Amino acid sequence: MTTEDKHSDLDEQTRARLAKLASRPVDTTGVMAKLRKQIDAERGNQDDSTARTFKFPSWARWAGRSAIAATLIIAATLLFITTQSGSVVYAAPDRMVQLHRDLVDGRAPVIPVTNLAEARKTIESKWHEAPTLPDQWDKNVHACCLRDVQSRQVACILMKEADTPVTVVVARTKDFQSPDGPTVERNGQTYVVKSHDGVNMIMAQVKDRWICVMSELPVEPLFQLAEGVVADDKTSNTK
Amino acid sequence: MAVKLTDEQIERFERQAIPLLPVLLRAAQFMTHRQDQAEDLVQETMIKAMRAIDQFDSVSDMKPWLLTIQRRTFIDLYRSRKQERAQRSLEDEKIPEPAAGDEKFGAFDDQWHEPEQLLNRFEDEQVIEAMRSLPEDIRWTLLLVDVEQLDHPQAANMLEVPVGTIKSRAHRGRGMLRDKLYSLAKQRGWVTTDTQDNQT
Repeated sequence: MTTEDKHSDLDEQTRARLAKLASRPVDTTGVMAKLRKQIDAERGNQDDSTARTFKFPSWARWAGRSAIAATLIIAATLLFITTQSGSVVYAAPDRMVQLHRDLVDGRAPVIPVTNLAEARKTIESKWHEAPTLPDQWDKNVHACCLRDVQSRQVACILMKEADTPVTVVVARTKDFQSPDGPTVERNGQTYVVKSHDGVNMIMAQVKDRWICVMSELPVEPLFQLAEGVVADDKTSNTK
Repeated sequence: MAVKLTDEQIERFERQAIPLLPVLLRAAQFMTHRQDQAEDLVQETMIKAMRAIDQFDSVSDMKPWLLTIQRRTFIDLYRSRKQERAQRSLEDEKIPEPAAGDEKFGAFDDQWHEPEQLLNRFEDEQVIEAMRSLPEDIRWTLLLVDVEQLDHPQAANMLEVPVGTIKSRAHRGRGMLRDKLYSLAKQRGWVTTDTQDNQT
């Protein structure tokens, strides 16, 4: 090898080592919380400007202020109930772990299946608005079920990887989203990584579905499983 | 001054920019020494980006756009800190491009026998710490080209230098980084003493 070749090889190795830094997990919780406040403040500005320009119409001057106030309170209450029932919830790690443990320890009923296609068919027959489930993801699936988590319906697929139970949860993104937390970007997809009580969770949102792969396995094999689901989701969506 | 943003603008920002938060935070960690400073830099960047979301051409890649804002924000913060100190002029901080033949890097390159193994032996934090000790322009170049995998024209556009400068800075930066890491490997006894003697 010439000196020039060696330098070129060293450059390539250095570049490859630096490229690995792009997949280093970072904890965005703190900055996300600050940013969320700022976004809310920006929304507040809109509300303030609306409030500043709002004037009671002339007919309202004839009505009792108390009647208007009562109407507004009722309207606000109705609006609150409506938005709460249909709003997104952020997955709570402790609740997800509880779900995983309930399923693994047999505390929650599951439907035994022999493969993914059967699990998919079972779930779709019971939940007509279920998010599209993976259909080409070839893993050792042995059970499935529908569960209610944080008052939102989710589909669960149970499988084993390296003799360790793994739960894959699929929900609609209009119901469920990932909480703030350390994120990792792999192959253009952002994943939120959470750990709670010995269970690792890899969460991702792909178009209209939210997935969470969780197990007591280390993070890396879970990433590989999550990437399989995400890749399959993307393939399914293009069909 | 209150900035009024529409729901559409905020929704667009949340959809396009928020997923890149980890990229910005990672980049900020290369530029600052403390987590709170990195978070402040990212927050400032994101606020600017949110308010300027209409200036972003949706056909383009969001990542270089956000990193450009972050770099300018970093420079602004850095300059204001320097003005506060008032002891050093901006000129003192400028990093001159090396003249031909004035390449003080790669001093240990002949000693790297198993580069892949040795490079991978360092923890990420050690590599980042070594990066932090490099001149700012070099650091940005390595961050954009090698870590974030921007192509040379994109990096040149961001750093407002010719593409050739990016190439030479990347080459020089990798050599400088290797020198730092090799010194660390020697301190840790990861490379043999006779190798050390040979190269000095």
